[in-house]
Amino acid sequence: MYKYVVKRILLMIPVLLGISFVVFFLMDLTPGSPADIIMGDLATAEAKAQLNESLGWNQPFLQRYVEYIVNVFHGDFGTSYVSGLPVFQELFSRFPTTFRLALYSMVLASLIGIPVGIACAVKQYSLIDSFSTIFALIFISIPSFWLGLLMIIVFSVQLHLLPSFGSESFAHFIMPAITCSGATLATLIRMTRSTMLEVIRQDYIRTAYAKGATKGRVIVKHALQNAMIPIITIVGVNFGYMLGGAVITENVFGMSGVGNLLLGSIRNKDIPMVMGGVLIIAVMFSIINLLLDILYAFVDPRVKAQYKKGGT
Amino acid sequence: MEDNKKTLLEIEDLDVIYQTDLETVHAVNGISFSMKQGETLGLVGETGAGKSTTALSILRLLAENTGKIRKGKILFNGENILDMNKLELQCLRGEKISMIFQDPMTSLNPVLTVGKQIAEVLELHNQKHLSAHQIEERVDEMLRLVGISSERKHDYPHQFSGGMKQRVVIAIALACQPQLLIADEPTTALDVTIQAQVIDMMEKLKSQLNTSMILITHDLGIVAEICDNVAIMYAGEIIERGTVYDIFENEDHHPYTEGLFGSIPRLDDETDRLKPIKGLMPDPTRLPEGCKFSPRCPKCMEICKKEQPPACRKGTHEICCHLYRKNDEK
Repeated sequence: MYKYVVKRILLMIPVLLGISFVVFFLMDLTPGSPADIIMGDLATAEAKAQLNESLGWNQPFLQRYVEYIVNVFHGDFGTSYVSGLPVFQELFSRFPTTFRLALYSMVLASLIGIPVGIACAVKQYSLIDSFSTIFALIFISIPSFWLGLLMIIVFSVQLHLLPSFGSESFAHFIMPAITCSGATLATLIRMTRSTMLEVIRQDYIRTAYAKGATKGRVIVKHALQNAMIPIITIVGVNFGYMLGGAVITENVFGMSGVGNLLLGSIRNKDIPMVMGGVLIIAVMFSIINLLLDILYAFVDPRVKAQYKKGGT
Repeated sequence: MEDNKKTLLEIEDLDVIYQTDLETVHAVNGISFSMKQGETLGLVGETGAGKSTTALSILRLLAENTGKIRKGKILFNGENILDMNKLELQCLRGEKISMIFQDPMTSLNPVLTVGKQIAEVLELHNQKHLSAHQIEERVDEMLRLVGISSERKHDYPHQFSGGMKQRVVIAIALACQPQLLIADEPTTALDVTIQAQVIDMMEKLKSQLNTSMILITHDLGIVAEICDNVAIMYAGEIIERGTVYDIFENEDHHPYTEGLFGSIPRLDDETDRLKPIKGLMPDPTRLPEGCKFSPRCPKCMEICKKEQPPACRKGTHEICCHLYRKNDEK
């Protein structure tokens, strides 16, 4: 198991190198030079050329890339062309907002989605089942920006209950978290329902009933753990996505998260900022995936046995 | 077998259907039988004859949405199981009646250790108020009883072979020393050498613990080996029943039973082909009128196609066939 984890962490290195190369290349293809951004339209062409020279912009693409990577390995992510602040500092001042948003959304989606999904499976074709199917369909179809705007109109503008803008207090996170979790919640309900339905038809569930176990015990003790793998996959992967910044939600609610920062940086061709942001998202995603794989081993002993054998 | 032993289980006119929106499957059509304490009853028949449905009905484990018991009584120690509420059923299942399922590969929970799965049934029916430690000891004892080292109780089902898993299933079934054990084709999924081991072990444990058993199988060899009484099922009905001697030694048989015996290949017979019973089991959604076996029966008469054959008794031997009607009337 320990060996497996080390192997997976080492495997992250080529993945990150690949991602950084692709992004660096794409950013290079966009028009304009760093000096255009830093100095604006008023500067002379001479001054711009000088600045570009000092930033190393005139060197060949591959050389710039290699230099960037070497710097990253030394812990230097460069400074933002726009704000002039170190990239690392900028990103990490934004990260708590994104993290909180992702965490609240996932907790909300799991707390509602999993129990509702279970209830739907246990009482298949019942009222709650039909109702939640419709509910899930609506939530998966609604565009999140629209849901966000709608909530702002109702809860901020009309009822004055919640703040519509910013990310200072817990109240600021309520509407964004609901907006963000909608689609995940819907997927989670449907997925929990279908996996549970599959599991409760298994022979070992009948064995559990034949032992004299109550329905509740059978569901909680025997069925749920067997249905857990697809469920934690959905929660984990969506959490990973959200850590990369929920761009639309952050924009609608004017939150200063990583997603918003990244979007602005791409528009401004702020190469160090974009690179830093993308790398952080990639690292987060890889770590979440690794954690998921470790979690699988605790949920299903058969997976653990595979890891022990040294399989992938 | 003493006759004064108490009747343990009595099934009267049991009728079970599986109902879906599209069709109604007549799985069990008015069967009756009874068994005494300590007795082993073999339920024999082809796939789809209604054996497993009968077994599941006894524990009320039929699929909730589709399986329905239309009429009949299942008396266990004089109490009708069909009238029991949830709580009474929970006390019955696993403690007084337990079941061994067909496929050991899938009947154990893959995410729980075998020790926990055996302990669960003891915890659920802990009337002697055993402590956790005593339950663990009992788990070890059960594992040893079925021939598995007690050190392996921390292992998961995927670490066991098929035969070993079936032993674990048997340990679970016998942990509470039930009065009745229902074994639904316990050896079908196992290979022949393991079959013999498992059957031997079940036989031994059954006599040790004085458990009655319903053995569902299509293997006549196993029936001859361990059953006291045999009931042969076809299309949801018992078409012939009797003691193991009646079935294996007697001359007279239902044509279906003859077909079953005829289809067993013999060592001393030099034939190239097996002799199956021609045709297929009738579609349980549209059962034929009269005798259900008549479309496949080599001795079919006119009356067979119209009239349900009566039960013809001769001592302990009972055959439902028009052929033996005269014998009965004499």
